[in-house]
Amino acid sequence: MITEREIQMLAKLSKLRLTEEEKERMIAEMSDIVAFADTINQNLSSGREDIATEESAVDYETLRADEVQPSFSPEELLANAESENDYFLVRRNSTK
Amino acid sequence: MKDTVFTLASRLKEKKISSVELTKAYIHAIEKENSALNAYVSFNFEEALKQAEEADRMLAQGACSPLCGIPMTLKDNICAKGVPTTCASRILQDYKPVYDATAWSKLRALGAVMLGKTNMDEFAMGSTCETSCYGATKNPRDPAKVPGGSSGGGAAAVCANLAPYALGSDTGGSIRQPASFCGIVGLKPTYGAVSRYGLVAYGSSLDQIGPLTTSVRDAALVFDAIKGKDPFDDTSRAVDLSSTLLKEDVRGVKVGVIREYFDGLGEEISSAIGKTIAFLQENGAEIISLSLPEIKLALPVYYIIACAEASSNLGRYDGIRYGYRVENYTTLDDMISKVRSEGFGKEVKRRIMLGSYVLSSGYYDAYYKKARKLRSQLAADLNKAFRSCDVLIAPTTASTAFPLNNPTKSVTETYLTDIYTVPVNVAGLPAVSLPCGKDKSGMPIGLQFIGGKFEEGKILSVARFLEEHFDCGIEEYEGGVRL
Repeated sequence: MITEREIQMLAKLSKLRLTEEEKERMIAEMSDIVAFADTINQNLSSGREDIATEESAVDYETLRADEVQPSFSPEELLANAESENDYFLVRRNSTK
Repeated sequence: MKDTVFTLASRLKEKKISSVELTKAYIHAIEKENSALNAYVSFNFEEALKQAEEADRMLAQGACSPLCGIPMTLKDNICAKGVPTTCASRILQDYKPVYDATAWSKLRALGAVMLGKTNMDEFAMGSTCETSCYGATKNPRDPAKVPGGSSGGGAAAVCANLAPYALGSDTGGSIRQPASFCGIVGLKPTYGAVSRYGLVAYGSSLDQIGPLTTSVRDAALVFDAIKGKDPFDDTSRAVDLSSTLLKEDVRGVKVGVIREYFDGLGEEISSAIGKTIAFLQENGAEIISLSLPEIKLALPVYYIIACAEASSNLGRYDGIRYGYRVENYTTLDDMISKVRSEGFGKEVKRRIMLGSYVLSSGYYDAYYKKARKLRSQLAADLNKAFRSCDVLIAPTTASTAFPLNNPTKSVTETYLTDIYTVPVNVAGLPAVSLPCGKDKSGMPIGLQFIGGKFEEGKILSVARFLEEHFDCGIEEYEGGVRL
């Protein structure tokens, strides 16, 4: 069972603001999902996973040399943002 | 099943039609029929006609790819330079990438013509196409039903003859399940076979781009064009498709059946797949029964890993560098929280929260770390199956397409619908879904062939044999651009 306090903490970590209604629904749904996720702790072949390793998807042998390559221009990188003098712009307080 | 791409390619080659004429025919059909289905969420018609003109020039100079001049679509999470790519989310409204996804740039170089972007569940999180900020897509075979998801728009467009083929993405079944619901073919390639550069990240260790087509032969053609090593994606690999292709028939091919896959499976789907297994056996395939009880763990393992990766990947949406922005905030934290709370939909928020939970201190070992270990164990068990089998055969879904707005299902009941597709992503294997029959209301039933890593050739060969010689009874859709 997930508590309201846990939901508040998770929302903070996730940078989400939940309404009271969302919070209530989330407590019920998350409890349901976590109970489902818990089935991995009723492992059918317990013990075996202790020797299993966590596989890495990246083949480190194939990484390229650490050399500067052509990349995007500031104009391209800022194309979808508010910007000023080649910097991303975040206004200190939008209400002012 | 018809080879739409190959048929159109031979007409282009014989100069019976030009790419511009073909593109106009699709544009006309989309303008007339898309509003009823909501398969496309944005159109690229002006650019498409320019691409078609270029393709006609390439054809006149003797371009040899059958994909030259053939129209197609991209799922709305695959980047195309200057074309809105929104993941069907409010948080990416108006976002226009400044680069092409590798899969798209490879097709583009061959002369592909991109008609537009197709609908999906928001950030590819869902299996109904209903969590899209553009509203649901309808299944062309029954508009009261879902097309499946998350690549539901692409599947509906191909099924309704509004595109010869589509690119989708599959994190836990998002190509195969909609292909199954719409009665078409969907290929989820081996993890690493197709570059993920330019695919908006959801679960980076699970995501893979692949084709949705009307035939297995078309799927092989598109896969062959988009696969391969890409310097922009270090998980990508060079793949030689022809080396794993099988001879013309299935004589001596070892087809594995995982018994647990059929436990509790409904009678209609079970019997449709049983018939195809019998057919393969009659044609000389050797059927091998296998037991893999741990396969049931693939689903919780999948949701833990996918949500953990999603919560991390979706951390980038802060309203500063791209996407949805807000006014009226006090602090930076206030601004970011407002952007994310207003920009993300319900299902996305749920998965981010679950991801934060399994990654947070105190739960990391019990969930995320444990899931990673179980994942490598499951992958090892599944890989072992390919020591005695060439391919595995399995249902794609536990049911045929369900009704739109199905209110009775709880969140975890909805997650359970992915039970047959996720093991493939968890183990990084290739699988192709194709129709094998229909239910009593005429809706398509799909099955999947699963292969060993980078053995797309084997699954495509067996699937092709079945498609050519076994009548699954699915009628062609009457609408769109008819061949």
